[in-house]
Amino acid sequence: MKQQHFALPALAIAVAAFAGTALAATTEMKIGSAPNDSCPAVDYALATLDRVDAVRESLQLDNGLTVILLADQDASTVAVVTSVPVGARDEQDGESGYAHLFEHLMFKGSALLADGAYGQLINGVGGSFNAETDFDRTSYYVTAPAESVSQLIWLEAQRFASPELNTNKVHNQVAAVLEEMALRIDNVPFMRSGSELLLTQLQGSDYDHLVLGSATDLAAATADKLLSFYHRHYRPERSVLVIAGRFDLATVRAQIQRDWSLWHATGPAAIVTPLQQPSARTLRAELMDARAPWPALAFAWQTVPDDHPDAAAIALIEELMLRGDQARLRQRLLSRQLLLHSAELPIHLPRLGLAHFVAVPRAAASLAEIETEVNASFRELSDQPPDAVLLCELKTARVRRLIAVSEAPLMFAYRESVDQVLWQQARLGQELRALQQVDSEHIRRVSQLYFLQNGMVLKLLPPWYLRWTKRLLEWLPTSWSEALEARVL
Amino acid sequence: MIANKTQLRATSLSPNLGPSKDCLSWERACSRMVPILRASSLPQETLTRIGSPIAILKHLTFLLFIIVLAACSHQPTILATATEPAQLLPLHVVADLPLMTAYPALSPPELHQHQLANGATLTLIPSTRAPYVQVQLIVDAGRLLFGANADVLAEILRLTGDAETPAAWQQRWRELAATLTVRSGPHRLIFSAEVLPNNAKQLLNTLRDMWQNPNLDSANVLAQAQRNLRVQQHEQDLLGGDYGRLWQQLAYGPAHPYGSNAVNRVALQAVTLSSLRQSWQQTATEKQQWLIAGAVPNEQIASWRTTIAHVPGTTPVARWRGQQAVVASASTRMTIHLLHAESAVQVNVMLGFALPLQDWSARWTCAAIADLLGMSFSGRLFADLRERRGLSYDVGGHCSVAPLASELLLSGSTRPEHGAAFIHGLLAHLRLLSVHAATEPEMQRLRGALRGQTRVQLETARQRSRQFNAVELLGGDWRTLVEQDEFWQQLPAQALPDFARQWLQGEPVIVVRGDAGELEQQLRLVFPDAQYIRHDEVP
Repeated sequence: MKQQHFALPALAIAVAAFAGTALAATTEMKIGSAPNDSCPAVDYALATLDRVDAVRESLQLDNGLTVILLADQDASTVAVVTSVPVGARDEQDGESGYAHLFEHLMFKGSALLADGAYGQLINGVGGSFNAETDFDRTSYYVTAPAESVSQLIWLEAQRFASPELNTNKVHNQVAAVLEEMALRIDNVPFMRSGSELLLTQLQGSDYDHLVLGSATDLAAATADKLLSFYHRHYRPERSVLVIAGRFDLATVRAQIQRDWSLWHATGPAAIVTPLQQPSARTLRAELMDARAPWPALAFAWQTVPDDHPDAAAIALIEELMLRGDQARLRQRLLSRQLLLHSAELPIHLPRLGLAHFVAVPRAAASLAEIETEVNASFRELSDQPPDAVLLCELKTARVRRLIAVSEAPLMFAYRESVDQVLWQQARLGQELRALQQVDSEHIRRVSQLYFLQNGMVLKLLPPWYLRWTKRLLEWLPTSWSEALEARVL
Repeated sequence: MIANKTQLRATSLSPNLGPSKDCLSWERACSRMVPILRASSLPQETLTRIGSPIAILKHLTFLLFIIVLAACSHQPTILATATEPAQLLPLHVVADLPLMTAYPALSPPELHQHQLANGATLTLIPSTRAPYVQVQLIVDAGRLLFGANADVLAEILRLTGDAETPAAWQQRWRELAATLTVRSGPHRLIFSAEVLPNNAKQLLNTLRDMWQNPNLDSANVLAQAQRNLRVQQHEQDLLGGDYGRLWQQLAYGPAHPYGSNAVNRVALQAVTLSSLRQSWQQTATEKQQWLIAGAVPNEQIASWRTTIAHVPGTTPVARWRGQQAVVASASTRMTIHLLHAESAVQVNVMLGFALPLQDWSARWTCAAIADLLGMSFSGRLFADLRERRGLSYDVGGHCSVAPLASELLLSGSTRPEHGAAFIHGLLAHLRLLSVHAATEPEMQRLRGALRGQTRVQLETARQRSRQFNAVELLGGDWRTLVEQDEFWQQLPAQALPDFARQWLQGEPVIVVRGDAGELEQQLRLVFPDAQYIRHDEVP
């Protein structure tokens, strides 16, 4: 299906966003005058989260499926999100790409649903759906007007309980995946070479190959092999179903018991291996792509999983240094006339942790100058971490994104489902409390530990004639370079 | 479905391919012969039995003769997938599917509008479920009125606002814990940000001050703004946005303001601080709206009105309202525009029409056609060209409606060898639509899809403000959404072929991005009477 091959949620708004609900008018809050140990925005978010937790209902079916119900009678839609703890890291040799390929096949029919029926029926009620596979899990999500809740629950249950595969479907979807590979990887400069290089640094860990897999393994996939994959990994006792939005609790509970109890595990389960964390290491490398029009510099720092005690501090450092127009790195490079453009990579590794930044230099600026400024910027951060006022501003920005999705059943269900399947618990409250605890010393320690050592620096280079042109521009007087830069642009 | 490439080459050649009339030159024959050589190479045991040098020479000569003969008699291997007639896949009926309750009549979200004495409008879309407040300043002063000055003005305001320096401006946004986003288009500039509720007043003041007294004095910031806009365009081109631009230029024509919708690079460079200040003085009097959505605290509304009313007077109606614009006439001869992209691993196709639709019914019917053909995962194109034939990963369609024209566009990407078959498939489905009305079951699904989507897209405060903006741009309001819902509920099958016969009878504008030389060879086999125009870049 259409999706990101890394774990960037297809729901663009919700990259790191979470939920509370609006009781804005009832909670006084002043920004900028926070006491040292409490940021009002976090208190506000925690207070609004209480409302959501009050309606949360959890149950477990006889087949082991974990079900979370988040009813909101003021919503007009309903969302159903199912997450299975299988991703690229669970693939054995020869199976690369199977988690993602099987995700495609989940839309190709089941015992009671012909191939193509699912899409027709969901679209026919105005709903939308998709799925996403990353290294650690696969999530399926669908949303539609609340009037269609019974249909959604039934349709989802059908395809998880009894997917139907055959040779034609497998070949058809292998072709689709290869097209996706061409579109998202091979047609984008540096995407394949950069991804593979980063992943080779994780050799020995479970994150050593692309989610899309290899063309060789995909070509060798058969219906039998994929069904075997399904039986080993798609097990109700390991999966999570979340329903959010407007629905009648009693009716939905009864329907879930009836429809989802049909899903039974068959055969031996895949062994769950403990996550192999790669050791952080320093990497310097160069990649060349004939399609690249200009050089760039990509930085990556291996950090910590989302449930690590340092994760909140790292999130605030990313907020301060790497994220958006206000990012300190960006502002620093702009003020020194070094930066033409900056970007973030579409990579999120919740169980590993990776911070990143891409800088495109101006004509007169060298990659070395940019690297120097980036390193200096983090040293300054370590020497002078943000004070309580700035910390509160950063926390406020992060909190605003975290709780914004509370009004969107799909976003909220998605977050809940991912949390449950990865961490076996709802984590929004913990995440907010962890943010509240971060102080200046924590930032200092974390910046030294993760951003001043063991970084990865990739030079992304165009063909030789453009590299030499760029060198010439760096050598010329700045005014000449800038004039030529304007002409080139 | 393509099983593997070998099968493709052997069996899936277009029926239009036949033996070449002229024997190719030696060089070209050589390059074409590679598959033939592989197929006819002598087995190893034969080679080992060959004895004397003369015998070897004789064998080689004979082999050479066979090879040349083969090269002259076989069709050069232009890889091309076979074309097929459009097929409609069956609608699935699932006996055990639970029944759905019928949609109630569409009830638009709560909305309050205040017309202020200075001509500005304050629109409030409250939502008790939203934990944020979104504030938007919308000025009807886009590229149509001010050319590239509009885009540069928007970018400068994003960079520096009314602050002394960009760093100072970013500091203000840091304190607000928010990010300013700016959109500039043909008709409007939109400045938007979201904050937690207690910062709403401060956000409103920041936007008001920014608009009343922007910093348009810094040559450095001007240069940076121009650079940023050019880089954005290059970035979009790198990711394939260039063929979209070309399509618009061709479909709308040079006389239509949408004909060059993107920022013109030459015009961008011509913007100066002086032209910006002049433009800003004029834009400041254009129609202005403030749209506030989300957790709108009632007790603050009165003070917000006061804040906005202090802005100098604005025109109550956009100056571009009521303008008519003529789109380029559809060609009578099929023309395929080839945008050359060396070594592209995929071919990108855009095929469609620019349509001067002015009434709501036509616009809504256009949307219905786009969904019938191009809806993700269940449209006709997806079912036939992707799922049945494996020609594409991302085929789809849409109808974009704007005040001065609309566009019905089918698009997708495909492998080079599928290019002609893919375009043939898109055209075949367009023709089918204009000849046969959809069946009633298909229409029921379509009506349900359109009406359901409207409801889903009104869930959050952000979505509501987006929907409101979209309908208000066209001169409508919430009532328009209700009428749209009623229209779709009653939409008869015959309306779609009627629309197609009225609006889609000329030749569509077709832009294909890929290796132009190879594509043209392939396309000529399927469309021999078409005109081919090569473009090496897009202005």
